Amino acid sequence: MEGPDVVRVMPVLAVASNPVNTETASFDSLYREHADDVFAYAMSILRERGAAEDVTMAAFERAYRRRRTFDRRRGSERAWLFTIARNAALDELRRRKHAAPLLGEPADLVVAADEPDPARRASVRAALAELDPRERELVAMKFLAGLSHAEIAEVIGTSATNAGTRLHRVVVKLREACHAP
Amino acid sequence: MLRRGKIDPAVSADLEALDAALAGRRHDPEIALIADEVHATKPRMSPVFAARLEAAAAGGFAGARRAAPARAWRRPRLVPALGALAAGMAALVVGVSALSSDEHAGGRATEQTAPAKSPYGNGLSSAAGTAQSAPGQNPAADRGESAPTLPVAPATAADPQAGQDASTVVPPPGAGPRRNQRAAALTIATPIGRLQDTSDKVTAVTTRLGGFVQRADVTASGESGEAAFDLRIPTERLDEALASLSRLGHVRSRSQQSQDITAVFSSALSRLQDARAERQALLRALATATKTQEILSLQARLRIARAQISAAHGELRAIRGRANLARVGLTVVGTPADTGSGTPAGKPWTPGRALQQAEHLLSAAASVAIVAIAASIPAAVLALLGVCLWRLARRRRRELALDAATLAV
Repeated sequence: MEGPDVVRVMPVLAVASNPVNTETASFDSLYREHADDVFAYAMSILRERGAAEDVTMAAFERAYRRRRTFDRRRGSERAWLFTIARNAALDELRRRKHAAPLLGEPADLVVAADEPDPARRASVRAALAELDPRERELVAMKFLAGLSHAEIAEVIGTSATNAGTRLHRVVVKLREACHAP
Repeated sequence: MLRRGKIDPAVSADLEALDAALAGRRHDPEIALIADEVHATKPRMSPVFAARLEAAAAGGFAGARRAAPARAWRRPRLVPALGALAAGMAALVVGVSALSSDEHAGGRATEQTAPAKSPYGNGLSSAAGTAQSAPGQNPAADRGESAPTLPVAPATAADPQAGQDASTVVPPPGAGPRRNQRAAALTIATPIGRLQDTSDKVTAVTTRLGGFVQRADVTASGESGEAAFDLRIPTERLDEALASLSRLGHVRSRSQQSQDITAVFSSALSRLQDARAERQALLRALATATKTQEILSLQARLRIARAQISAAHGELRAIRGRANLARVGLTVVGTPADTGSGTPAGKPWTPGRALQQAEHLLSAAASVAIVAIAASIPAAVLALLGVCLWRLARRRRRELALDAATLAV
């Protein structure tokens, strides 16, 4: 029999002995898998570490609170999580727009000399830094989180065609950077 | 908001190539380079924030846990609200049911407040407004006092026409106890099947109390019927009679009138005394009369005096009868058995009747529910529309914020 002390020291998200805890365990898995990506995604929109941290925390809190409302028939779990994160990020963006403009974190454009093809890498890195928030969020979802076009479309609330076209434009832009002298 | 559309084949092919390259199924140096750089520049959580997030996750996210008790807190507040709603619905159902019953009973409430028709016609009806009294307001009448022997009133105290407008006549001083004429009108309802039985009980009650039925008229046809009675009840037992008669059915209306007839009685008594005095005087004059013509004249006047005495006697008897016997106009209305006319005394509570009541109640509740649903549908549509508009507006505001950030780059 588990004593109360044992329960207390166990991470709540890891307990999976009944349906509720199974649900919690599923959420734990989602959290473990995507916490970094959600933070990176929030950074891609907000470009401010503090704001991204607040948004990441808020996104997981909201998702945890609403985990029973998730309907698998309406989309994947990670698309649902990124939708919540996006809404939280945009809410934060609106709040900060009214308070003080985001300063933006300077991108690390320095490429280590020992890396192969440093010029092309620097060009791509500069191109990534010049992307606008809408483009950056596509890159973050595609390259970092590995979302499909349909999932991206679900997150940004548009059609798969539109999402695919927009993603294609970003990739073309980045491909061009690869050819830059 | 997913919309299907045709994607450019070139774009589609490029996206497929992107997916294949990212999945490692195809070698694309450019995509590999881009992916490398995206990962290389990927923002990383600071160790401090990572630890904080981990702690929050381990604690089930403190914010979420704060929200859970908040939800739990809402529940008890919801219970009284639901209780109040249920009580309101129940009150509405009862109200509708009561209204329905009233309609079935043929406007019972209206009838209860309507003034009852006086069995005495205009004479007492006009006096009812001022002379109407509840039991106990006129002690003499309540006691049914009657004074057969009254002191002789002065001959000039009352006009011979006084009996026509007794209410305006001031009784002579020392005329004895007040004499009151009392009347009552009562309407009761009873199931049509028990109309005859109730009529028999009316007769029995009247006889038991020392009164009699002056007139009875019972008519019944199909599901309606009525019995009209004109009863004479000893005045001193009028209240007891009304109480007994009221128990025979559901009282729809009840009224009582009382009229002071002391002056009328005194006037009649005075006329009798005057006539007697005149006869005595005529007798004395006749005893001393010597002339034939004078004797004949006195005899003629004696005949007139005797007739006046006889008439005055009759008038006094009638007035005494009015004072001693109260007139009760009773109407028994037969009602259809299923109207639920509220005759708890006459209608025993049976399982069948309970089922009927339950059926009435359920149908009323169903009616209320249907009306509530009909009224709530437009409200729900409007609320849904409002929610959709609010969501659209919120989404639009969010996208505008992102647009603004995009323009700022």
